Amino acid sequence: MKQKNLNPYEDEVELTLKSLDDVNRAGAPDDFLQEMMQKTSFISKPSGWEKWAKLSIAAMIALTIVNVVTLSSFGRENNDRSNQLQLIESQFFGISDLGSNESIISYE
Amino acid sequence: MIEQEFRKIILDHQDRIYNTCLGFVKNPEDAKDLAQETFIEVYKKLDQFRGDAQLSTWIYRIAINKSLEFIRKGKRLKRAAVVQSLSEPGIDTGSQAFYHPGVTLENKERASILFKAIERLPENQQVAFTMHKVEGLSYEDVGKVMNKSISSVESLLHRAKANLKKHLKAFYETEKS
Repeated sequence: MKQKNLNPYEDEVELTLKSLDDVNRAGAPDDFLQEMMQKTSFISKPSGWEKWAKLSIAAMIALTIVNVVTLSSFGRENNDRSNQLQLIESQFFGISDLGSNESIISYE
Repeated sequence: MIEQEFRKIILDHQDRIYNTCLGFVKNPEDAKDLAQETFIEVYKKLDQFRGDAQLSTWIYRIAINKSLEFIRKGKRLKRAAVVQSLSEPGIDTGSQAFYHPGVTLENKERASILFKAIERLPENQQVAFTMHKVEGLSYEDVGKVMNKSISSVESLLHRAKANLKKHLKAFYETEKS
């Protein structure tokens, strides 16, 4: 004897579950590619030259800093040397006239 | 990226990506927007594509993430507008019916009901079922897109079918009574 289906909607449920079995892929609208190309033409993509420009600016800043440091240390060195000269001079002549307008030798 | 190269990527993938988005969001306009957003992201990030996966797998992932994000946003808005009962049984018949253009005429109504039932599945089951049934991917390809093994995909699809049966049964019982 054929057993009676306990759920009267079982067949309908099965058919519904299988309703997507032979579905075809929905195609993109005809204007899709055209619209896409228009949209992407406005997007600026970071290119190679932008990367190089950034690197160049960073290198210039680094060089400027190195330059400033070198110049200031060179100035300090110069100062030290002139102090040394002044010291030697004062030891030899007992005076220090470096930087003074007075003449050491009198011609009178 | 060279324009010709990008054009080729779009031509090769536009139908698959549009169909995938349509399977999730069930609205042609939204699907078109999401598919376009997907390709814009591809355009921007193609340099970052490492080639570990196939290009199509990578593009599918972007499209799925965008579609799910879109659905989540929609649900948030809905929740803010209407406080829905958590115990609400069956399939939501209030929202507009969706007819997929690739479904045969005889299956049109049933497929529309099935799409409603799919909405009630957990996200990962929804992705596995949609990619397999609507997009026609094999278990292996679904696994690649979802980063899961074939057995995990089989298990997901098995659970999805069981849940769908439950929702559909409840729907038909409510409808006929």
